Amino acid sequence: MHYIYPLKIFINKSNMRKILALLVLVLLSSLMVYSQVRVITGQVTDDKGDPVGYATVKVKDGKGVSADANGNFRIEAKTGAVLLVSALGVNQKEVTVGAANTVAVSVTRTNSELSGVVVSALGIKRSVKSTPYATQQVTSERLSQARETDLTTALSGKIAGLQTLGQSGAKLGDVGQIRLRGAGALTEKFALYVVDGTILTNAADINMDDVENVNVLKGPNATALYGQRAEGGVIIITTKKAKSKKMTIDFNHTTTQEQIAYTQRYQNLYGSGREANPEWKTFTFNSAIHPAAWSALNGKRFYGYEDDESWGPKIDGGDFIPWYAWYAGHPYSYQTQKYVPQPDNIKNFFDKGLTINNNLSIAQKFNKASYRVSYTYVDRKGLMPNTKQNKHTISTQSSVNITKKLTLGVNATYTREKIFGDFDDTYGNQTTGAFNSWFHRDMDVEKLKELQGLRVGPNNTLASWNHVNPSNTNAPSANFYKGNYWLNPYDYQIYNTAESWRDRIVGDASLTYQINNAFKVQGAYRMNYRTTRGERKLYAVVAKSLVFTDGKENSYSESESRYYEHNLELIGSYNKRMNDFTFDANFGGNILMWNSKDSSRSTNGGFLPGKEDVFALSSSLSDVARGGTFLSRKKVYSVFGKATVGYKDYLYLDVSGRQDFSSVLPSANNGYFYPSVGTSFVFSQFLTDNIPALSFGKLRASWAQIGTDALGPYQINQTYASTIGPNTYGTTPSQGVPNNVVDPNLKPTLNSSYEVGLDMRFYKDRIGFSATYFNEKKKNDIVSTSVSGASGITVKTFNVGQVRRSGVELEFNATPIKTRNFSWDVTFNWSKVNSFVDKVSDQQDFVTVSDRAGATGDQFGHVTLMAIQGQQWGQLRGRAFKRINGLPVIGTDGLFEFDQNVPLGSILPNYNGGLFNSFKYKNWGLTASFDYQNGGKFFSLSHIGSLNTGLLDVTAATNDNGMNVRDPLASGGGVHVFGVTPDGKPYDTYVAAYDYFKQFSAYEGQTIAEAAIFDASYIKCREISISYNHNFKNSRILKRVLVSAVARNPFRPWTTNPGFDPSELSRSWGENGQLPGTRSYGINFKVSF
Amino acid sequence: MQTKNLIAATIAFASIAIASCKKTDFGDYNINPSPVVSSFPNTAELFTNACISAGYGLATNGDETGFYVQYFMNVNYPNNALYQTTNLGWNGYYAGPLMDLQRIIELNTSSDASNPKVTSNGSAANQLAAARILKAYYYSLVTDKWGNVPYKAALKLDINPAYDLQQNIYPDLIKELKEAEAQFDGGTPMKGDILGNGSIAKWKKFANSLRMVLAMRMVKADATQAKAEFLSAYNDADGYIATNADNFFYQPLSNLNYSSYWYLQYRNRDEVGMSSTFIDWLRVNNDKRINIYANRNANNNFVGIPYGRSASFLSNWKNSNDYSRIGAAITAFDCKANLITASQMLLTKAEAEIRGFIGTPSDAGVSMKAAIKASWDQWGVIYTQTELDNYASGANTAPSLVVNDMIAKIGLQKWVALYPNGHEAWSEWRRLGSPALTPAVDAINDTRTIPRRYAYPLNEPQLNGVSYNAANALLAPLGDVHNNKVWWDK
Repeated sequence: MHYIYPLKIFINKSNMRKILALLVLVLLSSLMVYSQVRVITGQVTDDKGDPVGYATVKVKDGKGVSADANGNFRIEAKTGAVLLVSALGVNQKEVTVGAANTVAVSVTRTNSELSGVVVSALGIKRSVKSTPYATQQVTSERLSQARETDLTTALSGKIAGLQTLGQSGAKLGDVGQIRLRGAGALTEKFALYVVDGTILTNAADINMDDVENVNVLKGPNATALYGQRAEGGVIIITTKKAKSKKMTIDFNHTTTQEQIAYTQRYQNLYGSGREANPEWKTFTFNSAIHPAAWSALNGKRFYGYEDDESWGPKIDGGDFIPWYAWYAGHPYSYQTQKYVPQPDNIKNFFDKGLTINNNLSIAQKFNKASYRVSYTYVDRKGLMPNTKQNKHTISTQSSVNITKKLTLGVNATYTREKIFGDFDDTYGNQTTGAFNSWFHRDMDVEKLKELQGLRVGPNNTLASWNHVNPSNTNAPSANFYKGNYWLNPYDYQIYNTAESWRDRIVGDASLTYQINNAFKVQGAYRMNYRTTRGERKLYAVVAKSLVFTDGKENSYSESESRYYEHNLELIGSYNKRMNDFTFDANFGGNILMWNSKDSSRSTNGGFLPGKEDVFALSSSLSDVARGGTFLSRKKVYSVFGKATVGYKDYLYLDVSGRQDFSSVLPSANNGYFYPSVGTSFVFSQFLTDNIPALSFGKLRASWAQIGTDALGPYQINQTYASTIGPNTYGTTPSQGVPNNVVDPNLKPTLNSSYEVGLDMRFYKDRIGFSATYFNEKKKNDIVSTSVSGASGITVKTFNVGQVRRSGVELEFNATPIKTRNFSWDVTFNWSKVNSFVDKVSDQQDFVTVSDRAGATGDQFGHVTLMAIQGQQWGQLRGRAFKRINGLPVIGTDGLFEFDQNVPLGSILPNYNGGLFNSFKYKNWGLTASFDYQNGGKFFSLSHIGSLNTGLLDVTAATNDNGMNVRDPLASGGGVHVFGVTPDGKPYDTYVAAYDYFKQFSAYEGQTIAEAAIFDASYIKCREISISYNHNFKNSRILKRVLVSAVARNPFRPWTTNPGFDPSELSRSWGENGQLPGTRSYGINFKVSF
Repeated sequence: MQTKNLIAATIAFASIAIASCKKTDFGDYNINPSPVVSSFPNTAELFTNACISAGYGLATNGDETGFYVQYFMNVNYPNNALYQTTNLGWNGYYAGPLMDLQRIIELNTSSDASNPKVTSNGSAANQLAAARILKAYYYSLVTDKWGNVPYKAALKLDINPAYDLQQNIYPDLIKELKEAEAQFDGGTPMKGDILGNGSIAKWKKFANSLRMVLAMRMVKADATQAKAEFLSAYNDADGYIATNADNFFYQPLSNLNYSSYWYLQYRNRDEVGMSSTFIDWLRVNNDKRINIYANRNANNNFVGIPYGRSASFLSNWKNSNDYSRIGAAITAFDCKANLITASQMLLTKAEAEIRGFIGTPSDAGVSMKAAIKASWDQWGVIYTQTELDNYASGANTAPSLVVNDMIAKIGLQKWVALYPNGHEAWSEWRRLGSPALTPAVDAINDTRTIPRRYAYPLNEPQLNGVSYNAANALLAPLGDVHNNKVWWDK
């Protein structure tokens, strides 16, 4: 039966290709004469049991066939024949055909990171030889070296053209975003994540323990088949599946300790005060007005507690009255302390973070089925006091062959995450918002910690380091027992809390019907269901313990957000090899539907009497405020197709097309089509004889378009929303005219891109590189531009923008040393991208760009992130130093003059990349991963804040007279200022430090933003790991034990602003008072049964 | 095998068929399913929305301008009293109540006028009249703040609207008021009217009163027209706001979304208090309104915060916490926000009398005393006739027949009567030059003088460049700065 099977196909196809079939018939007839020739089937796998797709299997001196994506092949051979098995990235192997009709071929990889197969759009596995665009794959082994818990950090530095927009580890639950190839639109676009074919818009619930490998599709050429959502590139994640017929049990444990790695550079010479010439105050006890216990402090000195700045008296080691000495009820009441420096007070405020990550997985493969079940529990204690996170993930990846031709596959992941604590990382927050903007450098943080919860005064309020000064002539007022601006930060972390829960189910169920060898149809249902709930509590004691704060009321709020996405997908695949030609086609359709519901409610006007700390909406004094309920829904219908024709495994032609219909576009024009075409040419085929060192060489070129709707649901129709319930004036509802008008003739936008590339490998893949040039133009970008409010609206949305990006990406792999016991692998990547704004609109030559949090710049508007016509995308615009011939202009007061609205540089790097080194010696392994960036700008509000308030080291530096800048001008102090006068004459003078640094006060309105613009260049070591691996060859139970020590962010060889890590900024444009950067060390223990 | 080909052919054919379309019908999928959202507006709800704005910062309760006229002072963030703000955004007016009112006017004058969401909310004439009057009110605030502003070309979705001269805007506002006042018919009054509560008579009085105020505002720039328009409004048979019962106000509610502006702003704030300028004047002149306007300090005294001093200077004030806060009656949740009051109109009448527009100059004293009484009554001041007589004959309040002297006294009384409405008080101070205010000692603006207008919104040069440049050129030589004067401010 077996050997006539191919015959059947050809006969049935004969009506289409009669001549061909006839030829084959003749050929087959002749083959049938040799009765010993039979069909051998088999699978090519690598040393780890993973299939080697698209391997070439050839009878020595005879015919060859190509294996499919899963390494399965079928070839005609006779007993004793020698099969030559070769593939990209593996060593060639010879296998002799025996009596059996099946052969299992195990090959060794030349380089673990250079696979011959990549996962492309829609999860289609394809041969590296055939891909006409850049794609880069990273295996789980390389991703999980340092046991990162989130994917975005794990990918940092490992992909050319990838930039991670991360966040300090102190902010639990924030996994950041990925920017690929700079900016391709006027607005910020981030990469999409696709897990086993199911789309996720962020990486928060991608469990690293379930990731088998990651493939990054960067531009339209690679992502065209994904359609409109893939505008920012796609990160394709393939999860682990069962590989072995024996049950495999893996247990993986990691414990990581995290600590503050760096802070800004502070001064430690001067303490609290806000005066140009700080003086001590002396307390004179008056029994008529002062509490009796204060007599102990009579005649002692103190400084201005109510000021939250460090322009105070010089730290001299003498005795003084600290803030807490005035208050009763603790061991230090009414006692003076030594006035001494506290260089590490900020670092010491933070706790040590602790992360424990346990994963257990069980997998097994049977003849007709396979399963893998995995459970992960991550428990984190944050660095911020009173913060924690825990997360459970249960996932399964299973399949069953219902019949020989019908396969059911189910992948499902359930995640539940809980985060507790307040992680506010913006200006004015009670922790870093104070430490980097408004603080006393001499603050003894141990005392803050010890005295947390201390209640004082007539109203039993929380004691604060920043209370109103005592008076020699007045009795202490109620305000004396309150925080002037700030509370003890430890108290704030206790009495202002936020809690959130997220549940998510992501998964798919698919049925695949293998109609015949060549043709299969797959139908899949995919879903992504997420519910997030949140609660915030502000205790009454906070409300009453502050003097100068708005909205001083206790409050409780609840929010809920639901997102439900379904996709129905039908894909047919046809794969056929006919003599010298291979033909692969995929075509199908998709229906996407999503809907979301967001709502929030909060108490209003404080709590009812007697319900002071009863946190429920029913405690609300006034009608509960409703944030509104936002409903949203969208549908997209798509049909798509792709065909690849290969000739002799060296020349490929790729064509694809996709048509989308989006419900959010104007109903008259809601469909759009975009094609792509590409080719790849494996030229090494012809050169191996002349250049034996060349193991692989490929040229590729492609052109593609990708369309997007870039519009939210309902936006196209102007609607009027009436007030409802408590939001109504009595019983009279009201509604306003919407402020945004959307062009009713809005069109979908279109990115057109071409890219060319060259991939080469030498010396049996010991050295390889891949180079890509791309050029992309986005036309008719949808711009929501501010318009003069006098028009009656404030925003108009229309198609006018155009952005052009082009760039070069390089990847380089090498195994410089490889001996029996020792090997060294190195991977290096580099990329340079230009994202140029050709056009914004006729009204405006700029448009503001929102960061991840929806803000367009810092709290005070020092900088605004913008796309400005004629410039690199992502300009920071703000006040710059006024200059004449490059020299700053200085006014008669010795202070800098400025120009408004100056582009201060783009946030995008000139170039960036990463370096990965892996060393193996016997069972030992050492890996180190670095990433780097050159250029790009960021703005630091903390820098401005801490200049203004005398916190930074430069505010108490030694000048060129050898005197402290804070010393009087008369005795050689002051900041040396050079520049020109407004009429261009040279100017050189000393300015009192207080006056000089006070010009950088955010509080008095904006200051010169340029003073806090930093170059975002850096080189950092992202992770280092040392491991010991032992494989138990003879044990029936234990298979493998791996122990490793890991370090994340261990050191930074170079950076321009040591206070912040440009790769871990809270906002696209910089930082707004963010939490300090962290470093962590951990131990990983992995055992396989 | 036949099946396979059939499937392939079907899919291929379907793909081509679908791909060749430009569109697909999603039904009402892109219509917001929320029951409170609709694609067609309701004129009554738009009108309510425009009325509500009158109670807040845009109209009757500018605390920034309240700092300019030295009603208030802040010990911790005194920037408003130091004239830090130069440019001010105007989207809140144009893209707020003005656009809502414009839409009501458009709906009633287009083919949409027959839509039930329009017709059920009052006769077209009544809707148009009420909307035009309120629109004129908001526009008067806009032009008084910035001077020459987009007017004729505004609110028409033209994203580069040209500016009009204030001397052209003022007559048009007066014309609008005049026409609208005459436009009301006997049909159903405007629905959703939370200011006039459906009383056409109240709207007519408001329109006439506003016309008198605006006419008088032009008195230095164009005395002839000012007089003519004043007389026209004053003599209108429908009358003007002459008693407290006619006062035109926004009534705040206990619901925090609609509580009084001052309640929302300052109910829990310690750092804002009364300015020494205002409290000292009230105290020295034995004005009984001091008991309403301000709270006593801990020592039971009325003490103002030194006006116009820096935060560092005020450190000890903050420390002692020994200053009068804004009065409990003002920060009560239901404190009315007055658009126009009887006391304000009686003072305007007094000015017309001393200027000889109406009556005889000696009538001005009578009107002023009536205004004082109206103001005291309005605030519920408890007084004896003797106290009122004594106050009205005090050095700063006794009537005078010397025109400038009397006008200065009227200015003082307007200043006191308009509290806490900073917008109107600032406009009248600019026009009358009374009270004589000393600019902030620690002023941080370049000229260290009290602002006379707002500079245009910061983004206007970019968003509306050509029009802005033309408008800016008209402001030469000083340019678009806040110490330049508007047309009527001579």
